[in-house]
This record gives sequence, C-alpha cells and structure tokens, in this order.
Amino acid sequence: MKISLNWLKNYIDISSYTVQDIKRMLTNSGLEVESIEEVGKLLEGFVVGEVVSKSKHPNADRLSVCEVLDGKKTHQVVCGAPNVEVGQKIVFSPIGVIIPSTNEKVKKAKIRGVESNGMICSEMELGLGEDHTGILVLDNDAIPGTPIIEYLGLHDYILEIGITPNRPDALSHIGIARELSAITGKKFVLPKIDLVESDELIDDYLKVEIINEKDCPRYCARMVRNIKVKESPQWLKNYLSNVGLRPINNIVDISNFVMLEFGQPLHTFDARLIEGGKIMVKNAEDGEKFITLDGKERTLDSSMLMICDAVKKIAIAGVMGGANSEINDNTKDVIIESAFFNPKSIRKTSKKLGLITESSYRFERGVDYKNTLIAANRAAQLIAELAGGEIVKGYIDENPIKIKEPEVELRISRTNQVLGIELNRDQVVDILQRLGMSVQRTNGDVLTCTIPSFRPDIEREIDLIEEVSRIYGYENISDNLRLNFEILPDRFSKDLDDKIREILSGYGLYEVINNTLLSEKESSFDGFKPVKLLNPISSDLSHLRTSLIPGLLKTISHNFRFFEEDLMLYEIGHIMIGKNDQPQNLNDVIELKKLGICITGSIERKNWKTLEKQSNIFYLKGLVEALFEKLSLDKVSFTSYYVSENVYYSIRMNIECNNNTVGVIYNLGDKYLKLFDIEKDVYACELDIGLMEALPKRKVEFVRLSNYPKVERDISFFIDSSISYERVEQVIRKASDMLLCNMFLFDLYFDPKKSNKKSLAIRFEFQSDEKTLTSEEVDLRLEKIIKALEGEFNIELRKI
Amino acid sequence: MIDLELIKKIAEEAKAEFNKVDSFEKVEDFRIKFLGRKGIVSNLFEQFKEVSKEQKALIGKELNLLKKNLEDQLKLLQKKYPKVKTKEVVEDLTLPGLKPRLGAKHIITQTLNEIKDIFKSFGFVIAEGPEVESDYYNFTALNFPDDHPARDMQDTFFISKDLLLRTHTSPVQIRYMESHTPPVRIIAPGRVFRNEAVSARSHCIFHQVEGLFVDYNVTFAELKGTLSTFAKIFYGKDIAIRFRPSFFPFTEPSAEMDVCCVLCKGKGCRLCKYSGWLEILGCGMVDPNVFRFVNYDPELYTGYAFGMGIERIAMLKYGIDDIRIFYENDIRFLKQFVSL
Repeated sequence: MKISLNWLKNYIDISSYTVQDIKRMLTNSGLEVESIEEVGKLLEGFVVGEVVSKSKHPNADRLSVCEVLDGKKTHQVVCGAPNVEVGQKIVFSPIGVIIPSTNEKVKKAKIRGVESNGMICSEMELGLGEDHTGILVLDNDAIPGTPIIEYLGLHDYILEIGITPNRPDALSHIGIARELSAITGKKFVLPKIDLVESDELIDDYLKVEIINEKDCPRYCARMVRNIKVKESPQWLKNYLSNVGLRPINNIVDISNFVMLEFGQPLHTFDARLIEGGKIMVKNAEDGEKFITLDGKERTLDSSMLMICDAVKKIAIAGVMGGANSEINDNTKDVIIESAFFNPKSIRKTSKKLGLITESSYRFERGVDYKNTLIAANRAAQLIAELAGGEIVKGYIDENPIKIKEPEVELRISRTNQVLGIELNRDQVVDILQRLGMSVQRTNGDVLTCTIPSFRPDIEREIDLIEEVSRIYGYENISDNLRLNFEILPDRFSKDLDDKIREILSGYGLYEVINNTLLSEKESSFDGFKPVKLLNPISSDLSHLRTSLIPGLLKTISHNFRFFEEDLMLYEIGHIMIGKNDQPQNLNDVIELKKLGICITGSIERKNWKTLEKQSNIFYLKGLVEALFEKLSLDKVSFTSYYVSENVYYSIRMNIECNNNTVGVIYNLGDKYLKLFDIEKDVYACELDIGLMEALPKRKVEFVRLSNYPKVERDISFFIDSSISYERVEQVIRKASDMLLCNMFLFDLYFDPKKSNKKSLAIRFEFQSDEKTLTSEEVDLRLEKIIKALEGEFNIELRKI
Repeated sequence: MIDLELIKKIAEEAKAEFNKVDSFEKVEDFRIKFLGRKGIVSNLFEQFKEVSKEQKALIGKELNLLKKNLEDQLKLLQKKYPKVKTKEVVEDLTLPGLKPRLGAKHIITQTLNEIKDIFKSFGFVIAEGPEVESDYYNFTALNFPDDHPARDMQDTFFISKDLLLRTHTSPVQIRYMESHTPPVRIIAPGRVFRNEAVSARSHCIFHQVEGLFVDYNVTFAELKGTLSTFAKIFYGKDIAIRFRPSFFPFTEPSAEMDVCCVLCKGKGCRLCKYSGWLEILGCGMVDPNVFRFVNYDPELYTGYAFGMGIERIAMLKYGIDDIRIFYENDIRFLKQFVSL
C-alpha cells in the first residue's frame, strides 16, 4: 500500500524524523517499507509565470507571442495554446528545464521567425494529467517566480508498505500515523469534523433496512443535496495520484480520499437513481445478472450480499457499485454509504466473482466498526466543502449487531517466558497503552486488555505477546543459543539420498532437478496414470510425473541442442501415480521417492591414449551393482529380464534385491525417444528409494586376510550361443569350493565359422587362507569345473 | 674348447666393454652379451659339461669367478645407469592427463547440504513429507482459517477440493508432531509448489528447508540466537543480521530475518532493492493453535519454526539472476559447481 508522507503529516508530527527514520521504524515494527519514491523531483525548475502581454504571431494564425513574467524579468515566448490570455498565471519553463512528458530540454528557438525563450506548459507536458488541449491555468493568487513544486505542494515521499493480512488497521494513513504514534510516543490527531446541516431530515429521503444482519452488522448513510460534480482541487488530485489512484471527479475522489484516510471504504450513490427512497441489504438470487460500474455484467448467486433499492440491486456490497446508480456529471444529490460487512462474506463474493477491489480488500480483512459513522460524516463534510451542497440533517445508523470490544488477558510472566526477556509490568502496560488498549490491572501478573475496534487480529494472549515484542523491538531481544540438547533418533532413510548422490557423483554422473509438472503426454511412462491438476498454469505443466525418466529425457534433449551429447545424469525425486482418474484424497495417490539415471553418448571419449567407450546397458547394470555394494545392500540380481515390443523400451531388466523388485533398467525405445527429439540410444534406470530403505543392510565385518599367494587359471571354450552366461556361472559355482575366490569373464568372441556358437574366456582365481596351493590342487579344481561344464553343456575347449 | 685362456680373454673383453658402457641401454647390451640366457657365460657353462674330469675343478672355479665378477660389474653398471621406464611415450610429458569424469551434485542439493550440516551440528534431525498434501496439513492445521485472506499469500495448485501440491514444507511440522512427542528438533527439506507464472524471478516449483524446535521453555530469544548463529556460519561471522516483525498464520510472534546485502554491503543496490538488506528466511514462535491441532499442550510447550527458500539462498550466494536455470539442467551450468 502507498502512503504519502505529506498526507501523513496531517495526523502526526513527524518533522523530527527523516524519511529513512520512518522507514526503519515502520519496518522494525512489522510494516515493511518495501520502497520509497520521491515525487515532484521531475518538476524542478518550473516556476509560476504571469502572462503580461499577448499579440498575434506575424507569420502564423494559430500562434501567439506572449511576454511572461517569471517574478524577476519577462521572457518572450511563442505559444500555440488557444486558451492563453493576458493576466493568466501559468506554469513557465525557462530555458534548460526538462519537460517530463518528452524528457526533452527546453531550448532557445526561433518559431516561424520569432524568438521564443521558454515554454508555457500544459497539464500533460508536466505529467500532471491528461489534458493537452491548452495550457494549465493556475489560480489567480499564484505568485510569479514561485517554484511549481512548492506551489502545487508536489514534493513528497511515497512509501510502499507491504501490509500483512493480519494488519487491516494499517491500510490507511490514519492507521500508519497511529502505528508511528505507538512507536514514537508522539500524539496523533484525527481530522476535525464539523458539519453544517440543513433543515431537511434524512429520514424524509431515505430508509435503510438490513435483511441479512449477520453479513451486515452496521450500515450508516448520509445525504448531501445540490452538489456540483466537477474536477477535484489540485491538493486532492495530488494526494490521490501520488498514491496511485486516478482522480475522477470530486465525489468519487472524496470517497477514495476518506478510504485512504480512515481505511473505511465508502460508496456514493446518485440519490435520484435510488427508487422508493429505500435501501435494503439482502442477498442476491441465484443466477441473477448485475452490471457493475466497470461496465461488466456479473452473474450473482444467493450467497452474495447486495445493496438494493425498492426495486433493483444497486451495488455488490463491499465489492463494487452498480452502473445504474453511480455518480455522473448530472448528479445533484448524493447518498454516502459507510458500512461494516462480515469479512468472510465479502471474501467469498470477491473470490467467486474474481473481483478484488480496494474496497473488498479492506472489508475482507476487517475494517474498524467504530469508524462507520465517522467516515460517513467526514465524507459529507468534504463533499459540502468541495462540491457545494447542503448536508441533510441527521444520519442513518442501522446497527442490528453490536460488536463489543473484546477483553484479553495477558500474563507478564508468560510474555517473558515466550520471548526470553525480563520486562516489568510498567513496561508492558506502557506498550499496550501506546497501542490504544485500555489496560486494567486485576492482579500482580495478569493484565486485562480491552482490544480497540481497529485491531480485529488480536484475540488471544499470544497476539498480545506479539504486540509487546513488536513494539519493544526484536533488536532488543538478546540472542540465546541452546546447545545442551538430547540425542534424537537418527534416520537412515534421509542419509540414503545423500549417500546415493555421493556415490553417483563420484562415478562422474551429474545430478539434475526436473520439474514435477509435465504435459499429459510427457507425464505418463509405461502405462502409469498421471495425476491431473485442477488449475494448471498451462497445458505444458498440467500433470504430475509418474516417472523420473521423462524429465531426464527433457534434460538430455535440452543439452543435445547445445551439442552436449555425452551425458550421464541422475535425479532423486518424488513421483505420483493416481489410483483412479480423479484422486480426491491422500489415499488415492501413490507418492514414491525414486532414483532415475539416464546415460547416453560415450562414457569415455576417445583420447590420445585410449579408444572411446560407448555407453551401453552393461555399464548401467554394473553401476547399479556397484551402487548396491557401496550402500551395504545385498547383491542385486537381474533375474527376470526380457525383451519385448513396447513403445517405451526395447529392453527391460528388473533389478531384484532380497526378493524385491527394486527397480528397472531400460534400453529406451526409439519411438519414445522421438517424442523428445532424441535420435540416439539412451539407457535408463529407475529405482525405488523407499524399497531400498527397507532392505536389510549388510553388516560390515572384518575378514582376516590370507597370507598365501593367489593362483590364476584361464579357460576358454565354445558353447551354444543360446546359453546364458548366468547359467554357465551357476554351473561353475556349483562345481567349485571355497578356494575359488574370484571368477570373471574376460573375453566373449563369436567365430564367424562356427554359427550358433560363442567363445567364453573365463579367469579363475584360487586362494587358500591356510597354505600355498600346489599346481596339482588347483588343476584338480579346474578339471572339476570343466567336467561340470561338459556334463551340463555341449562345450568345446579351446587351447590358449 | 673352453680353457683358462678363453676365460681370461673373455674377462678382458668384458673389462673393455665395461669401460665403454655409458647408458642404461648399453648396460642391457652388456648384460645380454655376457650374462643373458644365451650369452657368453651361459654358453661357457654349456661347454663346461664337456670338460674332462681332471680339468673340471680348475676351470669350474675360474668360470664361477668370471661369472661372479661379471655379475658384480653388471650390478655396478646398473647402479650407475638405472633403468628408465621405457614402456610409455616418455618424450612429451606435457601430453594431457587422462582425467576421470567429474560429476557433481546439483547446486540446490549442495546449498541444502550446507544448510543441513549447520542445523545438524545444532542437534536437528531430518524429517520429510509428501509433496501431494491434503488441505488439512497444508492449511487448516497450520492455522489458516477457511476463507481467510492469509490463504491468498500462497497460490495453490489443486488436484481436488481437499488435495493439493504443498505450498510450503510446513505440513511436515504437523506430520512430525502428530507422530512424536516433544522434544522435537527437526529440519525438513523438500520441494514446494506455487501456482505462479514461470519467470526469471519466480517458478512454479522451488525448494524449502523447514525447521521446528519444540520443548519446554523455548523462547523467542533462542529462535533469534539459533538463526543468527546459522547466518553467521553460512555468511561469515561479521554479517549484519536483523529480525523484523512479519506475519505467518502458524507462528506468533512472527519474523523475517534479513542479512546485510551481500552485493552492496548495505549501501543499497538493485539486488536488495535499495534497502541494504536481503530477506533470507521467515520464522516465529509456533502458534498455540498449531499445538492444539497436534494435541500438544500449548501451556506446557513452546517452540519456534522457520523456513527458507533454497533457490533464493543459492541465487544470492552465486549471483544467479534467473531461477529457471536450476531446472534446465544445462550440463554447462551443472559443471560450474563440481568443485564444492
């Protein structure tokens, strides 16, 4: 909200503070000053001038040549405005001054052969308004030579204050003045309201009936007759435009002024457009249409509170008036409405209509119910002053539900306990009184506070404690750090994420973070049903991911565009799967934490020493094995792998551990990759971290080291291509004893001359804890292995 | 035929060769010529088999002596001209090293870990919660009344009337307190969602770290102490810190913690919007209403809670001016943070 410092000065003497002081004080008390704007600076150099003579331009019909007095001397100025006249007080810009609207410097010029030394300005040129039909004519009492900033009272600081939803009391200049008064202890004064009333009685013109009392506890009205709708005076226009409101006419401007002064939104009706001399406050009917004063047709429902006359709706209560009763140039009689509406009701209506106004904003936060009549009186006073007219005698104050100022108890001991400070009674009482509360001292520790009507947010002891801390100043509460704390149970699961990141980043993979939100098409993977948002930003971000793989592919695709083609990426994140089409509650959604890995391109580029290593599914398989080993989890197996025709992948390998399928490795399908504009092989893997957390962890135990040498033996043989390595390994393991400490496949070879055969070359390592193995002992074991292989398969040993 | 003459001659030849050796290669030549598997000495021993019985003792002695002398000479030479590795190309050691792939955690993770480590050292443990939340956990139990303007503070993605994407990590507070009795001392990192148009300055996803401490006699002074200590560890011990009142429905009193602008050192610049301060986190004393929702006695216990946006902290720390770059995962961006 914008606050003008000049405006503020009407209610509190802040002359001893700089604008920076004010900013600091407000910010430190919870009204954050987000920025300060200095206005009026643009009009530096402009002065009041007097047109002392005017003659026709010799060479141009539409131009005149004027002599302008700037207080000291006169200047010859060529002027094109039709309304320039001798004796006028005008805004004169001497040579060298910058015109705000064009940002150009005024220069000495010859216009159609006549010298011109300056300019007479229009409202628009000065940035003061939109009128450009002629020059701005000032009041006659303006003294030539006076700087325009001074004359118009334009110089001001505008504070942009971020008001939190709990502080409706600060949504006005008086509210901010009251806050500054609480902080500084300086007095603040309300404007004096003296009304001169006519003999006519308001009761003869208007009756008010509140039908929905719950949503309208108080409704006040005043009437002013025989007014003249016109432009507002300069001071009022300045106030409003400096705080961001466009001046419209004196009546509308006054109601805006009072709203920004007191925080009480007002509405003004043209009395002649109100039929039956009656205002009723009642709910709309379902489906009813209503045209608001912005010209838009709104569809109402029966929850919405309306202001009506005897025959029609005339305003949406607290939100916006109707076009059918608004102030216009011919308005003679005005009815001022000032009410207190139920905040919840206004909020509902505003939300349903998607219509947020200065008025609804304040009502839904809660206005001061003691201001209702005061604000109506203030507006009546100003209208009589600025628009002529007579204030009709009396007022309407329908107040079916009287709101009582609540009493809240505050314990000083509790205050100190929560805040960690040592305030005494007098300090606490002083703060509360400065905030406008009346404090009764019941007994030693407990204070009973009457909460003023402008603070609807204060209902409980803790709210008062906050008030005390705020005004006492957070900076005055000394820091305290508690370091002797209990040992709380640690949790493995959270460490698991970090361990996985350490391991994978250590292997050269980069962690990525992708959006949970994807398009419908992207969000599903392998048939899982994505959860849909009711109110997405766009169709690109409308569904929740069911897998981490689509996000990883988007990342790969992005990087391909920048010619980064060798990628090893992983992500840890949540995925969501809907159990049905329209999940209603938490039980309808499965949310899982997953680890996704994608690799593409080369694992190791070709260099001057070694050849390129292309990514492949076995690299990913090995990576998963290494990951499980490093996490002290049981050895993984890939038991049920199969190849099938599927849109998403051409190979799928289930990762099994401890009889659970904990994840899957994929060779992604070309068609699927095309969706992401990827034309290269991508190998992907997705693991369920929740399931991994549940797996038993291997206990790390020390095993005594063997002091005896290791003996190696290689064998190589042809075998049917269809026989899997896993089966070969099983046979070998079965035929071996403890002395076989390691075996690995070091070559795989297909002889073109032997179809349907492959050659496997396997290295065995034998070692004993007890002795050096003899050649005979090793050979015996190798024989046994070969025999077992020969017994199981049709193999043909090769000589190496 | 082998005889003493021949042995002597070979000894002399060796002597001459010995003096000519001036490099490792020549040591090798020497070794191969005299002591190699098919070298002169080996050849002599071969011939020695045919020496008559009566001569064997004498020639054998001389032959062994020759062998020993040659071995001694070889040792000397090998010491003088040690073997230089010849397996590799040794001429150009400026050839590039064979660097392993680097790999890195995402900068968001790294920033989070830095924050986590500090709070872990204060005795906090980690808690987590789901990203799809119920209205109850995200709002109601956190003291956001129905139809209250406070709900407008956070634009929400809805899945159904009661189901939404959490707008903050604060629901974890509720979930944790429901299943634990005080003392509670947790931090809860995680992803949150706001229904906001994606721009350089805001995104529909970001990450937060939530903190909660509940026990007997937890005070606002402790909240200040803990969080200023955190800021001093994170930003350096001389950083200026301020707390100012603010509003969150689930804390009372509430505060924002600002640190002195890292760019202008408090003088005012574009980064800090000319205020000299940067907003780092929101915090406050847990509202008694929140305790009532989780059946903690608000008379018995007090607590503080805080929350901060990880992206914002990382952006300020590294001078990143566009939040979208975090989720684009351009490898050139990710590679900039391998060193941390």
